[in-house]
Amino acid sequence: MRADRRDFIRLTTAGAAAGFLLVRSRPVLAAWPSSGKMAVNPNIDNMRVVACVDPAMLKGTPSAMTFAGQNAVVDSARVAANMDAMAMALANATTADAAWQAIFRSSKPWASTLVAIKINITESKNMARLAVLEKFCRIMAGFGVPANNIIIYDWNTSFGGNMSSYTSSFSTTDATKIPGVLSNQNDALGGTTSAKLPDGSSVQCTKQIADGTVDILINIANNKGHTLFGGSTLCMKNHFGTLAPNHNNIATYVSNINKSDAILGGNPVRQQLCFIDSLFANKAQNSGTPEATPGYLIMGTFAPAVDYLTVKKVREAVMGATHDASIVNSFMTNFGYTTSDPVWVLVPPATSTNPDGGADARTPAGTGGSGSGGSSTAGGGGSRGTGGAQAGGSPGSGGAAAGGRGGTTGPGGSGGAGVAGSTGAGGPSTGGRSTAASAGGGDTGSGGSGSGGVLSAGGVGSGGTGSGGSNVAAGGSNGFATGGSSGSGGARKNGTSGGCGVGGGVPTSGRWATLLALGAVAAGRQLRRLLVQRELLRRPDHAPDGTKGADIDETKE
Amino acid sequence: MLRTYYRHLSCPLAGLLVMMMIGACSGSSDTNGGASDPTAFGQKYKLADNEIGGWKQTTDPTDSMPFGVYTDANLNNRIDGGNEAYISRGMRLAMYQDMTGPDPNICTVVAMDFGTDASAKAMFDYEKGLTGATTALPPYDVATAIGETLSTGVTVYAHIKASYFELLFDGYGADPSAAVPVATQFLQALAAKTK
Repeated sequence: MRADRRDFIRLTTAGAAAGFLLVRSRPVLAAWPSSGKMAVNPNIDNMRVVACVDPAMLKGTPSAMTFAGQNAVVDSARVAANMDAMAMALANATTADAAWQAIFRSSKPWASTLVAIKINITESKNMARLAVLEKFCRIMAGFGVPANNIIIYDWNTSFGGNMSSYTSSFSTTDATKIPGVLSNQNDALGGTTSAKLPDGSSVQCTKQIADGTVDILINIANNKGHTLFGGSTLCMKNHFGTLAPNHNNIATYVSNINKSDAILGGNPVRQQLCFIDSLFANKAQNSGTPEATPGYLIMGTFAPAVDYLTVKKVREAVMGATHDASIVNSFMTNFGYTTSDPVWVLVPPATSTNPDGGADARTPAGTGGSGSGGSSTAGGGGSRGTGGAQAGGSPGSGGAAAGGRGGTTGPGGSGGAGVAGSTGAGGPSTGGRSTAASAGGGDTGSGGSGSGGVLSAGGVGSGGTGSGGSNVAAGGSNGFATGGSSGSGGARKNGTSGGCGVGGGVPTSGRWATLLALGAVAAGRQLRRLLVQRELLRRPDHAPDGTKGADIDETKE
Repeated sequence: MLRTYYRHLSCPLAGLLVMMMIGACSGSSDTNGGASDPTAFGQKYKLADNEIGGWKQTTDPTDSMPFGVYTDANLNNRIDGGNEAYISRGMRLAMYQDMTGPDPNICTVVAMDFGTDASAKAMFDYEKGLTGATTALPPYDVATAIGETLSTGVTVYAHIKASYFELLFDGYGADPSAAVPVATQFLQALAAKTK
């Protein structure tokens, strides 16, 4: 009898749980609670906002502040690496993979998960940069989400034409392009339907977000000013384009839509990451030429906290913009928080192009390229190296060491080399870290080797991990090395020669080349493991005991 | 007595006449080629190809709106919620034209009718204060035209009579200051159309 009762309880509990799950999966019942708070992600504090500022994400000043001009100077590998580092800090995870898996969750198998990425295409000169979008799309593709299920959208009837700037970079079938679907308006998400807001009113909303079909919503805003809403338009207001815009009583409306079931409903909660691409920024208005180049990436799980700290820490502190404090403060207070609640976590730039160690295995590779770093005399600039291979197998010109930087004799990086068309494993080098690889590779390729670790105040010895080429067109001629800050080993001022990276790059054709490449990959991975371990020891936040990192600036606002 | 009557009568009549004249002068049709007619306003300020040497309206296929004229009712179609800053200060009509110059130079020309000189000046002062623009564009006085130098060009704000202008020059990453004399050329062409 007791057993029957237990069974009954067990069944009813299970039934209730199942029912609860079913109910939770229906979109209309979940939203920000009228009193109290809810955790967007049970494993990540809503108040945690992670940022990274890294001038090296830009290889130079754009020739024009256009979409093409900006993207031409963005170092996509560097951006991806920093995003990995940010994810690890946000999720307090020891690897990038673990971090992204903690951030992005689905109740469905990945193969049937539907991902919507909201961008802002109002101003063609300040839209989500390709590197940022590519990273998110490849993360999702790496999970197993089909390209057809990764939808990039902005329901923006006036500026829909700006979406065409992305067209040539995306494909659902061409592996060399970014996997995803560029939606015309919100057509790829079922068009528009009516959605309820917490105040009981109804508003037009992107259909598959309103009805709960979308499992993961990624909110990618840009850093822009605005005449209204306290002087900024960031993640919260970015949902003008998920839901119908309304500039009347805008602060209340923006707050309401961000509490709505469309955005915060679902189980797991639909909107799982709020990201601000602040590489370039509009200080005053939401349109026009970006006046600032903050070089920041910012992200968190909770839009009000992300927006609040972006205003305070970047727009005001870095850009000198001014805002209506009462409205900015209401970002937090409208959700029951105080302005002192959010925590700003400043992550140092990644110490390699993949802080997780090695190349992203999900990244379709070009051919690994390599370059030998230039040598330099004490304090002098490095000379152009040679080597490197392009996808076509022809040698590219090698990377150049950063001019004017003397370095120690860095042992060459034994770079990993990619195999044509397959995964390029980024080879760690024993030189300093390199960014913007020295040769070969390709936007989608990694592999290759690091080039010499150099620092202006003396180079470092072994340590940093190298990364692969990223400049197909020029065969890596634009490669440059920056200081191998992660290296351990002997440092020496006024070194007599620049660190050099020894290429693992090989032409793609030929069996020997392939074998060499595979060998380099294996060697690289082994070295990478060692380096990762070393990195873990060096950065306490990644230490096994989970203690916080000394090199991460974490401040409570 | 009769003379006094006429004097009394003439004063209001004269006043009415003066008011009518003022009204006619401040009317948009005289200063802006028919402010109530968006098409006429657009054609008035639209720059012809090579009107400024080497500059043509863009034919970039990714530019979905190389030329457009907007009223206060639909300016949001061009600049979204940013329209409030202009509308609240009296903007009535706006022309946007995207121009392409010597590669990679580009410029967006904005001409707006604010109805009155004072409103156009108020818009100028607002933007000047908001952006902190300080770059002079001789021979224009900084109270009339001013630029904000950016890393890849210059953004110019100016007001002439009841018209307000913005010129967004880009593609001068090598030397942003090189955009200033070009901006002055554009401004002079627009000023000529304002008469």
